[in-house]
Amino acid sequence: MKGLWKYLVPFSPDTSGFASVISGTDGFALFDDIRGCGGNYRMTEEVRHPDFDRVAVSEIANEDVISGTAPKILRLFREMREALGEEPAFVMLCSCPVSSLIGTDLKAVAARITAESGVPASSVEFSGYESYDRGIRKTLTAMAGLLCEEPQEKRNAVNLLGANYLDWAESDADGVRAFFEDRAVQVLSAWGGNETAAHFRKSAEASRNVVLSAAGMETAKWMKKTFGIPYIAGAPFGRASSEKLAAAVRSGETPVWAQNDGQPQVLIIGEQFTSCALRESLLTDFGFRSVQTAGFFTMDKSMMQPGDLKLKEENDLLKLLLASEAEIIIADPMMDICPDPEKRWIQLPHLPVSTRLSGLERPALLGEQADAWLRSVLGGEEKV
Amino acid sequence: MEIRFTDPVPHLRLYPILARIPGSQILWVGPEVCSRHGMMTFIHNLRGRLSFFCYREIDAITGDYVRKIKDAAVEIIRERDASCLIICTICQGAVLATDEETLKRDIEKETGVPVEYMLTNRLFMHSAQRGEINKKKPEQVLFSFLKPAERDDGFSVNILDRFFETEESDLHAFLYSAGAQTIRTLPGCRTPEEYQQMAGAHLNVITDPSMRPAAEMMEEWLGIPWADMSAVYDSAGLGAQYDQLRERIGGDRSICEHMQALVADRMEQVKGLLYGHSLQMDPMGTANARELSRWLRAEGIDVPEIRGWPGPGGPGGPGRRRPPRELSRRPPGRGRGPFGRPGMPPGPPVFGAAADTAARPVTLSACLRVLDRIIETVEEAT
Repeated sequence: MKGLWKYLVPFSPDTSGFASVISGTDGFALFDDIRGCGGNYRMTEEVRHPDFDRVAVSEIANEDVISGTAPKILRLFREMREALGEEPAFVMLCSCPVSSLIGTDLKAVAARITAESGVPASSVEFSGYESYDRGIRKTLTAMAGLLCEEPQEKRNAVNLLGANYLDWAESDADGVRAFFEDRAVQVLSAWGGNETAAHFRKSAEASRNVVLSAAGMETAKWMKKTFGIPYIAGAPFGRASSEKLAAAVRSGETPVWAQNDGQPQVLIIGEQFTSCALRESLLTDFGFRSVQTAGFFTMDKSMMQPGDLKLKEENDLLKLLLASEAEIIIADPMMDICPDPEKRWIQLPHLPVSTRLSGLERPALLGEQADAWLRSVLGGEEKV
Repeated sequence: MEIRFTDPVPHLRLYPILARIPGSQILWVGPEVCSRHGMMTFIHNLRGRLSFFCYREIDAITGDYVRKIKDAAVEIIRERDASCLIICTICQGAVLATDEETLKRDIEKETGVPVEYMLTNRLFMHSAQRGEINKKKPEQVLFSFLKPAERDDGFSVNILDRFFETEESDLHAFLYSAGAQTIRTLPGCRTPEEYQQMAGAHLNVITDPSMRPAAEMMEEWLGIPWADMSAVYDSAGLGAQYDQLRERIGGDRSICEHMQALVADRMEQVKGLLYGHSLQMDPMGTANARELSRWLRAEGIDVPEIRGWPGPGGPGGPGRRRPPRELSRRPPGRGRGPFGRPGMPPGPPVFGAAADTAARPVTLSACLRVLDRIIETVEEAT
């Protein structure tokens, strides 16, 4: 039955993507919610430990459903500002299941915050029914709309879009800026990780954008449409992918990825860009001929190869696992819903799937670390 | 010297508690975001017992979500051959004024399987509810599937404990001395049939105040009287409760006295070891930190403060509970087990890393255990 999850726990929601994006900035993330959405994020998805918690919840009560939640959000903003002791760089509001149902006008509240304090504020409409990737996607685009200024000049520099702490290991998200700078690529801003509004404002001066996860694609398209900034897509995981991506960023040419040939030998289930980067390594450096990718989250068509699948329901996963002839499956341990002793399951923990359930750390994949990880988990399976 | 003390307790959450009912299925309904509240390691261990139905926003708007919940419930019940189903609802259901009572009856009618629902909401919107409001607590839901039954032939007792202690204690010994032939606990029930046998008990004994509503419900619904044995870290209080229980059902006072003497003796040992030191209580990792502190302070032990977040117990670690040494002594005239009967069945199904380890201290045996733990801690620290 559609919507019925018998083996998997539904994935991290849109609201968590929202919180994760704002948590690393100098803005505020205010949930218009009862308490749970913020609690989810803090308990199971926040991997950083910021000195000041920038994510707060309005704590809707019974009477607020009748009388409206706007006063609570405004009060929350004032309390947060007072606690911080200075103005936040910006404020993003987010609706949650109950506030979306009662139709709180968050745009009006955001306008009041700006009028009252001069702090730029905006809102994103979430309902808790979608996954975290949509949360990241929509939040990044809304932030771009709120903060990006018309460029005074163009610089030979890039914006990194979509590297985030839900899809990536903490060390990868922390290190991606240095990774590009080490390859003579100047970085103006990083959207999705730890960044300041001052850098976001100057983003439109970039000569191109580098989209590092599928969740960053929408913002890249928005920036292309609004400011004419072209973009290059791919995750810098593994030697093959990293080198192609860095070369493409320098030259401005679209990278040419290795193509599958024949029946899939490996199935990778997870975030699309990560899966594609691992595929690139497996095809280029590990001697595999064909790798299928699949995922429940955003799948951009430009990165898909024939046979790649977008999964919607638990049943889709079940069918895929039962039908797949791949000898090796790389995925979050929770995805193993029909264990097959014939197949080799390589665990790649993904925070929005199993949170910290598996007790496993997501491996660092940035640069050649992905190859080292693949070597360690594949052991004798390496074909070259 | 300030010595930090912790006494880890299991951090049981709603789903593992509900899954204690043999053969039960739990169906959570609502938007994705709410499904991850309190997500802890236990969820993986409940695979096959816990399902999630996430209807779409449009279903909430059109009202079709009610039909879909029913369809999902029927599918789960039939596919998993459930003995009963518990539907967990969330705040949005309250705002939508979902008529859970009618939904429950519809599912029961279609499947013939009993259904209960748990409002896991923070919002209730009582005035907007069309149907009867189910105010049952999880502890009540645990026993609400019991059907009225004839009393057992021999004297039988249910022990209702919040943390489902299964180890034998002075309470078990006392009940056996009072003529109890059967003592049942929820985790001791392996099948739905064994669970139903709890309805035939002559007495419920609660060992935690949180079980009082469940005991009252069972008294009203099943006619089982109950006795309160929920004094915590209070040797004298527990003694008084034993006296009250003895007035009702008889029993051997010497068991209690023997344990009280042991507790007093051990307390003297603790006092001696802690002379010149103070004990710093960690409330997040200690069961009933406040009550324990009060008891120790009343005995003259220096517990200057409870540090950290106050609470009834914390996440704690999975430290395995060590049975008190004295319990292995066989009381005179009794049979094979520690207290004269074959040992209790092994622990309940494992639902989580910590679910079946340390138990809440509610008996004199537990008082003894916590004193042993203090002794261990002090000896390690000094």
